[in-house]
Amino acid sequence: MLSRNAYGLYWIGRYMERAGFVSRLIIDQLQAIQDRPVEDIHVGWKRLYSTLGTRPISVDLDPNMDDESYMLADVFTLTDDLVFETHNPDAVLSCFATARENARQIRNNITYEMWTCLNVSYLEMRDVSLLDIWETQPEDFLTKAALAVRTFNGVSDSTMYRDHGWHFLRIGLYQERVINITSLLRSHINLFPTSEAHREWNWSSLLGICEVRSAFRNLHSIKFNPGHVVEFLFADEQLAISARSAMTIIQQVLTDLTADYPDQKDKPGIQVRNALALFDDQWPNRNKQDDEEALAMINSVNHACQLLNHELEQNYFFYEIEDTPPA
Amino acid sequence: MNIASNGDGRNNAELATGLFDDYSVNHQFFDEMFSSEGKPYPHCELLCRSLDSMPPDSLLKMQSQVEQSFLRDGITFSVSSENNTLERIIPIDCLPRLIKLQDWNHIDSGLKQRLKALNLFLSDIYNESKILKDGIIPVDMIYGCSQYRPEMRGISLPQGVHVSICGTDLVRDNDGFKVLEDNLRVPSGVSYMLANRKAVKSNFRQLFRQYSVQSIEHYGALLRQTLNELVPHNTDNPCVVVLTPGVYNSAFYEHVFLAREMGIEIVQGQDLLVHNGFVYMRTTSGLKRVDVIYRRVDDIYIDPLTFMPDSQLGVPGLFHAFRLGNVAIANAPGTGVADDKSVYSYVPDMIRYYLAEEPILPNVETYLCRNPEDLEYTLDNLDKLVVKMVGESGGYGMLVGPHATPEARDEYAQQIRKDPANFIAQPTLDLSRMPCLTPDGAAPRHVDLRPFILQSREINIVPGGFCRVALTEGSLVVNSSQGGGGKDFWVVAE
Repeated sequence: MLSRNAYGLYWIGRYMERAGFVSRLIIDQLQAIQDRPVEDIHVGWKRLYSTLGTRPISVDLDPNMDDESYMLADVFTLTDDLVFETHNPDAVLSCFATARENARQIRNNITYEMWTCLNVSYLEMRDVSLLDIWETQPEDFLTKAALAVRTFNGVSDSTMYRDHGWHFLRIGLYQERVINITSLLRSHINLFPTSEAHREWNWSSLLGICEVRSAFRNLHSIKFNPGHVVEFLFADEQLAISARSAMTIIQQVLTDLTADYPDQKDKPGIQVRNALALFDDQWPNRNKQDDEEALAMINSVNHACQLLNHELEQNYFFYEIEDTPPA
Repeated sequence: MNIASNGDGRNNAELATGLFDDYSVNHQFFDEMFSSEGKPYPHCELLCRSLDSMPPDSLLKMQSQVEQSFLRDGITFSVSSENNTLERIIPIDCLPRLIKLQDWNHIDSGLKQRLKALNLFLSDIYNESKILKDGIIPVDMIYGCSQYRPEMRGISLPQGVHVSICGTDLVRDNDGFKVLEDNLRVPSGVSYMLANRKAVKSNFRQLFRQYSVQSIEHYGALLRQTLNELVPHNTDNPCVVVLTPGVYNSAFYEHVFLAREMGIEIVQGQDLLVHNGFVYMRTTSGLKRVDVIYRRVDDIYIDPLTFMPDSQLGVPGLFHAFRLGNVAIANAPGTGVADDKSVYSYVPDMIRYYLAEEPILPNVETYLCRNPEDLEYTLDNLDKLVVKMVGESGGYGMLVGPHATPEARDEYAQQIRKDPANFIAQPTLDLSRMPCLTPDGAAPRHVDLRPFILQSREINIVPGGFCRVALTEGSLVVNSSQGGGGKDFWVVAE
């Protein structure tokens, strides 16, 4: 497959996953606004922005502000920035727009169904403003966006030929997932250390963002033990959204790619294999009372995935021409 | 059914009820659906009856749905403004244009004859130049043409084919079909031909079946076959790619569409490289040799080492690989010299010279301002003529005399006097008209037709074309960049 097209698919995977993740982060925060005390809302914003690695725009997140002022001054502006602001590359609409622009450039490498799914979702969102949805249920709009991402993933899965394009789409999706989950866990543990007593709501909210509350309840009953939640989201092999599951899939895809072309450099695979080994060797043997140790491992996995981007570019997308091309 | 028929377009005949209530035939213009007596041509009767029995609202709704489906499918073209690039659809008029198979066969023969002569001409001027030596065409017209590429001299192409994909614009007046211009560089519009067919066919299924409309859906396969046959060396599975300037090009949708139809990659200059005289594309599994490039990039941008040095769109060394015969480029560089608006006027002479045949399809009468007599006539009759710059296309740089203000005509006359060889003039064409859907029912609008002709080992044409329509009442400008739209075009047995 043409390298540029593979690169486009890789970024479609990343941006679509990011769109879904940011949507779920905001849904959680908007729900908190309905019935949580202002301190929780404040910490919620901190977790959100820390996870995204950005800062809120032009808004003073002062937890001492009274409830009404807080709602009027901040929530609308922040939500607008995170959903509709075209200059914010992480905004939900921007993610859809960028994924769609990538898709537009490589339409001969994606199926008609994938294009239609993505294009229609984008067109439906494009002409909406926060004002249009604010008075009713802004969460519905975001739930629809998250659903569009899942639909796109399902349509891709059911219609796309299993060639290199498919592999790179999946790498992008799962790489973004690992980065998102590990960033969220890192932010959350920094704000709510597992050893400290916290209201259950914070940990329930974390599971809600990842849409795994009921899966967790089925496994651990209704008690949201912080250690169990971290274990579940980071290292559970059966949980599709866990960092470990996503890393395992990336590893499998990279193996498939190099199996087709044994002379291809295996550097990206090495990075991922090392990170995966951590789940088997170091993670089970860590001191479970020590958040710092857990955070170091979470950071390590996050870092491996951040590096993967560069390694893929060097090996598949923008590689140097060193050898004599085939005659 | 009869509709109004008179010379001034007013309604004074027996009226039907329905879509065509206010439609009238004007004798000045050939009508594609109704005779001068206001009756539908026999091959259009079924269509007219069917359309007339439909509530106009349902047709408008259908049209709106089709336009929505174009947006959903991304069938758009880009329009750049000062601050951003907008995606727009080319409006479609749902009422199809019909032509008898017998008339189409005449067009088919004329177009094949024309492309054959044009390819012989291009081979000749870049090699022996016999037509110039024999004084059929002025030497300075060719060598002075901005589209002439001296770099092409001495290059013999397989089968002598310089133009593999041609889009010829045809107009029809009361005397019949005429060639308005040949597009021999990177003709566009074929994706809209196919998209319009898909949309209209799905909305007129029964009519389509009853008419046994000739199929055009195999265009992609035919184009792929044409490009495969250009491969300059023996290979079972040639690597063919579409070279696009990128997503900001107004025809980008078409580039992707064609790549998808043919099942090939669409590449940009940055995806290709030349090594030891061969062209490769960068793939996820290493470099892959490219055999044929269907370029949708203008000549001057394809290779910065040979043509425009600061081109970011091209591939350094591509022309060298082409010259060595290691890669085919369609259309070959330098074909633009044959669709220059001055050279156009000599195509009938080319046909006589190379094929010893009379042209099947006539040209539109053309005055070359480089000739003193034609210049004088043009300047004296600017209010009656359409004047065009020889190197422009897309409706840009032209003066439609009858519609221009005296000031605009004076200003244009000054430009002509400064550089007469850069202008040609033609009579204002009485482009044929046909019914188009408006909120008030059917109304006459002017149309033209761009069929697409493919040549490699043989010449092929799918029976159809991109029918362009000037959607504004009275307008003669059909270009999509200037408010034109499209129609489906049906070749039907009578």
